[in-house]
Amino acid sequence: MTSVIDDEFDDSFILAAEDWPPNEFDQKHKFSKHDESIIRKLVAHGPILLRGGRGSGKSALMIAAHHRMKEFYGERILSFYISLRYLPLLRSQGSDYDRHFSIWLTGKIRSELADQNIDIEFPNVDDSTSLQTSILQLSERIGKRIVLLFDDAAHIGREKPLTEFFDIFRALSTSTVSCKASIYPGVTEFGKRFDVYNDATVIDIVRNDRHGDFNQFFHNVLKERYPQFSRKSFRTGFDPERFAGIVGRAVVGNMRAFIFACNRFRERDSIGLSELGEGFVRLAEEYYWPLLDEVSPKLGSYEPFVEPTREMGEKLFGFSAARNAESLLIHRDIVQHYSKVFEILEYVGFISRREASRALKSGGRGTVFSLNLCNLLERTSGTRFTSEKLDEWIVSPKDPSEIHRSSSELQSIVLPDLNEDRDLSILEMDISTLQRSSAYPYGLTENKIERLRDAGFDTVGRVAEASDTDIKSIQTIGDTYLRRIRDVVYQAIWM
Amino acid sequence: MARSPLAQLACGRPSGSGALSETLNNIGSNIDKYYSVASDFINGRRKSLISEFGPYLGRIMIELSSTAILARIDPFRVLVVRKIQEQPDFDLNLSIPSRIEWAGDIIGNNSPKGGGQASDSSKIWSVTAKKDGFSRALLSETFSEIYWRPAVENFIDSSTEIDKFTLISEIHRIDPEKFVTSIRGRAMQLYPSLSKGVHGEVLLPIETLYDTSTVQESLRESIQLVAKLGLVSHWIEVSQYKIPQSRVLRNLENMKGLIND
Repeated sequence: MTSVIDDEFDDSFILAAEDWPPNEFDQKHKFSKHDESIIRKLVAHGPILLRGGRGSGKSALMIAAHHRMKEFYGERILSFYISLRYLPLLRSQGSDYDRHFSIWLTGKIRSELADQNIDIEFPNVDDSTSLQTSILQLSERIGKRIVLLFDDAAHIGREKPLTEFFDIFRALSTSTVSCKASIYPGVTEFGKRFDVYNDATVIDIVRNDRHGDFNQFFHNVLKERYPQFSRKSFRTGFDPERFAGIVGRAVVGNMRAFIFACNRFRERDSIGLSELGEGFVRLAEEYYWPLLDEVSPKLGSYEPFVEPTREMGEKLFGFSAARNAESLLIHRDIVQHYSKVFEILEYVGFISRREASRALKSGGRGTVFSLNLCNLLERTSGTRFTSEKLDEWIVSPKDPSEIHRSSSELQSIVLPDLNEDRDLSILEMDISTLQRSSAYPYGLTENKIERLRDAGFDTVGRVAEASDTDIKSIQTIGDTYLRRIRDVVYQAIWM
Repeated sequence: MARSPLAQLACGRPSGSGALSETLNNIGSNIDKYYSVASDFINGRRKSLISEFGPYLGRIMIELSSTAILARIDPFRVLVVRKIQEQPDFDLNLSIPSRIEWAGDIIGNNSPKGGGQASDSSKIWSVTAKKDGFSRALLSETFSEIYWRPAVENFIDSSTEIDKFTLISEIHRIDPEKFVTSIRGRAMQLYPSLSKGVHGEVLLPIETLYDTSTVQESLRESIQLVAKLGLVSHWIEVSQYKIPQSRVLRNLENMKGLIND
């Protein structure tokens, strides 16, 4: 049956690094010089926290580092790439979290040892103290240092278990074992025992559009993923590299949004300013704003912040569009007051933090944010992407517009009270949520959703909890479609 | 002879024949030698004995550079040590209690002492603080408040080449109040990890702990750490022998390929 199912797959819909089959990953991923320096740090000994927004490329860097350690450094290093997309980890705390984590990691280590034909029995352990001892013993027995790459360690809507995670991270890090973990920019709860500046090196993943190799990097991605663009006709002095750089800047360097954008532009035979403008506005309407709806049910206790976030987005883009500004300098007191709102805006790629602190002309200091040009254009009078806008937003951008402390622009945004114990509502949502849509471009077909529902998996949470065997017992669902279901559920809950 | 880019960032451009200038020239000359060998290790031009000598090179570059930067900001400690070393009874066999120390003079003791040096910067300036409560260590909270934070702000507001160098972008992405905290945190990880390879503490196979990729990255990070401090030191109001922004940028340009830029 899988041959029929395979027809439904289209690799242009693969937006996440971890969804690529391992044998195609290296061919389909391109890295900038800065990325290469991050990969080197992931390979070298020492604890690392890789911090970046949704779709910034954290997983791709970790998987690339894992592949390189296997291929080039296998004599000295044994690496494990461990996705922490495991539902019990989102729902537990304290010793429960410790137990679930230890069992999950043990299983992953045993599985990787078997895959690499390493004939060593790794014990089944269910607490982090035994885990630490067992990993150290493994390192001694094989005579290699060990690198543990933890992907999706932090979840934007769930901060409580992170204390336990960082305690384990710290405990497992020794002279021959190093831990590396991906986190989101808003992760601030590291627990009492973990000092983020002393117990790890934090690396921010930022694709700076003003850096020399920005255009070239996105052009390399374009060439690999969309070779058909080299045959397109470009107008207004564009070529594929310039096009890639402009789209890269429009999506504030976010790789997932870039792929999404290219999927839209590939339908065009000829591309000039008008097609770019139309494409950007469509992205704002069909990708960026729906993202807030997609993210909302996975925010947990922060779900009530979605509406203030939407309001903040509208105000920021309206303010900038009126001033033709592609970036904003916002007073630190405002950023601090609405910190979670700004975090959500960064997470969905509406804005990107460019500078932590710059002096405002009106006094005080503030944060500089780049704005995505899709939402900016959507709010601009006439919504036309003209050569003047290209010049003012990309070629020679002016200084950021300022929002000072006493500005009335944002004062009407009210933050509601939060219920800290609120669970992720995505888990209780009906399975039809996972149907293919603008929020889930590679979602499930109606037929598969009905089959899952008939088998009793009627909510997203129930599918996430189901074992592989249970899902595969449904007629017409084999290994290939099982993977597809898992990918969509992972996207719905974690990404 | 032209100094290496790291020596120029750390030591500035000493002039005249005074004790401070001479001391900085001596330190700069030593940095040049270690920087040259470290470059060969990082670029893969020199491969043998990297596990054995790499950690030493990283550590000595951090020590020399941070001592030079301290001397340019607050020369007192370094000139005292120099004076002691000039005495006829100075003997290499003797332990010198007043020597420049990593913990006391560079990192600083962060425990509160009658106000003064406190981990919470708001408590530093207590009216009850005693004179010896204010640390004069390079990465102390006192230095952070008096010298580093204003310098980082000056640098950020005046620098024009933000996007050409990753090192500069990184400074722009850190809150100036957290600049010293982040440097100190990295230094407190890097320095001990390099020291284990220097003191012969390692009883496991040295190539396992200090494999080529780890040593190369540690050397890059050592250079990057002190280059970042050196860079900002040229925006500290009181620091000596400052070099202009154009020369700072030229040095960064000359370090491309070695550090993560």
